[in-house]
Amino acid sequence: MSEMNDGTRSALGLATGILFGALLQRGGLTDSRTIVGQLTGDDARVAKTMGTAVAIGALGHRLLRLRGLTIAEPKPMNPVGLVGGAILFGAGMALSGYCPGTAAAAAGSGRREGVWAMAGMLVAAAVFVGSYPRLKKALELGTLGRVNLLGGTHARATLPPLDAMVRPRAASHASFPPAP
Amino acid sequence: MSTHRQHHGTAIVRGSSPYLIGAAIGLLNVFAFAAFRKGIGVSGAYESSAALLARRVAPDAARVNDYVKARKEPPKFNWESWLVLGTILGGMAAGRTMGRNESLAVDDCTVVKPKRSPLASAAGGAMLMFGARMADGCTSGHGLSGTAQGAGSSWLFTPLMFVVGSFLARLARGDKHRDEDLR
Repeated sequence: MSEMNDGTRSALGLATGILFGALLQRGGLTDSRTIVGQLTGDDARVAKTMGTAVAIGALGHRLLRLRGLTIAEPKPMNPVGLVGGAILFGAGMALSGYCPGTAAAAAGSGRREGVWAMAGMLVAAAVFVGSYPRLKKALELGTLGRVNLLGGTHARATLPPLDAMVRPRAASHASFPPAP
Repeated sequence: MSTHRQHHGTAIVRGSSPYLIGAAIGLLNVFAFAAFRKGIGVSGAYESSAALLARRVAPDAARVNDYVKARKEPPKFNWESWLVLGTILGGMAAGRTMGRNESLAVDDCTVVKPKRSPLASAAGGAMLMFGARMADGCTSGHGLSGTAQGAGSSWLFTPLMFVVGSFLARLARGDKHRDEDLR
C-alpha cells in the first residue's frame, strides 16, 4: 500500500500531528484533570470534544468512502484483547489523567506529568513488544475479524491517493520501491 | 477564562469551545482519512518506537526477532511516528504562543487540587499503553478514527474503557471524600 511517497507521508504526518497537539492543548486536554473530571462526571469537555470530532469524522469518512477516496478498515474484533485492553486502558487513564495523544501534547507544552506518563507508556510499549509473541494467541482468541457496524463491503479505494494527484511523479516512484 | 488575554490568538482558539476544538479535530481526521487512508492513531507509534529502540540496543535479542516474526512486518519510523512527534511540537507551540498564561494559571490551581505524583502518572501511562496495544488502539485510533468508520472493535473498546475509567475515578474520589469527612 505504499502508493504515496514516504517523504510526503512523513511531512503530512508531522503537520497533522502539530495541529492535533495544538488542538489538544487548546482544548484543555493536556491538563490531566480534564480527563479525570470527565470520568468523575464533573467536566464534560472530553465528551463534547470527542463527540463532535467523531460526528464530523464519520460524516467525512462516509463522503470520502462513497467517492472512493478512502477505505474502511476496521481493526479486528478480538474480544479478549479489546475487553482486557479497555479495562487496563480505563484504569490507567483514571490513574494518570492522560491517554497517548494528550500525554504527548502535555509533555510538549511543558507539563512534567505528561513527561512521566509518556515515560511509563514507552516502558509499557517495550514490555508489550517483549511479550507479544507469547500474548498473540490469547489476544486473538475467538476473533471475529474486521467487523463493520455500518455494513457493506470494505470498499477498496478506486482513485489514487491525494499525493498521487498532487505530485504524480513522486508518487509513481514510490509505488515501485526497489527490492530490499 | 479571563479577558486580559484576549489579544492572544484568534477568538476561535482563545475561546477553546470544546465543540470547535472537536470540529477541528474531526476535520483533521477527515484529512488523515484522505491522505493516509487511515485516521489519526497515536499508540501504534509508541510500540514501533519501542521495538526500533529495542532493536538498536540489542539487535541480536531473540525476543525482538520473535516480535518481528509475530507482527509479520518489521517496525518502521513511519508517518504515524511523525504524527506523535508533531503532537509534542504542537503542544509545545500552543503552550508557548497562546497558552502560557493559561497553563501557568492552571498549574497554580494545583495548590487547591494536588497534582498527580510522578509515580501515578508513569504507572497510569504504563497501564493504559499496555491496554492500548492489547486492543490495538487508544483514544485516537479507536475512540476517534475507528468509531468514525463504524468499526465494531472501536465501539466495544471506547465505551468500555470510559465506563471502567469512570468507575475507578469515582471510587477514588469517593475514598478521598471519606478521608476528608474523617478529618
